[in-house]
Amino acid sequence: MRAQMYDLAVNFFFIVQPSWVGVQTRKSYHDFVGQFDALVDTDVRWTPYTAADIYARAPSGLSSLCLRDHEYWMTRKPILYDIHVEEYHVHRVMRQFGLYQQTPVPIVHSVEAHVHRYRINSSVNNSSFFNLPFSIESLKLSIIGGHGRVSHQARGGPTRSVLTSTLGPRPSTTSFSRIGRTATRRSRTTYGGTCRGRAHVSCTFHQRLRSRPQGCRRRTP
Amino acid sequence: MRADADDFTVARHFEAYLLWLFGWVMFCSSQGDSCPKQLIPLARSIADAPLHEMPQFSWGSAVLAASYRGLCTGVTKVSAEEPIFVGCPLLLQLWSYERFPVGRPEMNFEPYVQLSADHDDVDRPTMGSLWCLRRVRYIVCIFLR
Repeated sequence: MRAQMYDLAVNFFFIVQPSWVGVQTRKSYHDFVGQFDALVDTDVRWTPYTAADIYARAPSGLSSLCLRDHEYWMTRKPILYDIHVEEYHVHRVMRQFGLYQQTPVPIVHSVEAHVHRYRINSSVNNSSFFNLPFSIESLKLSIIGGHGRVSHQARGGPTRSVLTSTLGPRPSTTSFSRIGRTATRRSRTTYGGTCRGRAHVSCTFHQRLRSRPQGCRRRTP
Repeated sequence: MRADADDFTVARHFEAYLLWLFGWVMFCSSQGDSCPKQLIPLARSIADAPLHEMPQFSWGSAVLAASYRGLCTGVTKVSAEEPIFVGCPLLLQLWSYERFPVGRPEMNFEPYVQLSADHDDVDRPTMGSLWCLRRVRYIVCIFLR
């Protein structure tokens, strides 16, 4: 009987279109706010991408593209889209990468408020810095020069400062072709390989942290 | 597209797909079914480049920046006519699904085991495939209860 019920359920499973769980309310905003307010810290998955979680979902490995550019995740520069400059503070969420989290979380701002406030319809002539999304090469510069102090001039400043701030000596950490090769090699193995890749990242990142302890501290407004 | 399409046709189809990807998935805007104009030459340069000389851009950071920006402006909206969120809603949704038990569909959390024979290393599923490609489990739950 239970098997028949299961067959019936499976048939329905293929007939019925995907739908959302629960009842859609008219005042869903208050509903969602209430649900978020009711969350306690044990309800939240703080680190959903641990090695165990990934293995539980994909024992034979995820797409090699998922981890191919992992070295760029640790960039210390503001990130750019169009004329917008946004802060990217990976050191606040180090646990998600399986790394040591400094506590209390250091609150620094890498982008000054007036830079962040640029809008497309503002009076600034923005045609000079439609230069985005920036290329891998420039991001590489921004990783390597990660300890360089970003100086924001008035207009067009953020773009150029990210593209040209290579103040430090170039360690031989990242080059795009190398990343491509390691990804190819690693992707032949199963998930264990990607685990080692992640460990490698943490290693190099810690080395970078240790070698440049002043990198974390930026000018606070 | 026909199976014997020439390179030019393939490139134009690819360009159209890229524009769809930019406008509908990665950089959603309030402009409806259009694509941000500064991305059009990028799509063309990618589509016209040979396979091994494709220009490399940091699309991940661009999507993240666009979404951060969308969140920043989204919280300052005052009228219902304005778009709530521009950027990459798919990314925000997947981020939320993985972390919060609020408003997410109930999915089948079985691991990915049935990979088709033509899967290669690149074409494997991602973490987000679970939410995007699988069907919602809700109906089954009712019948087996």
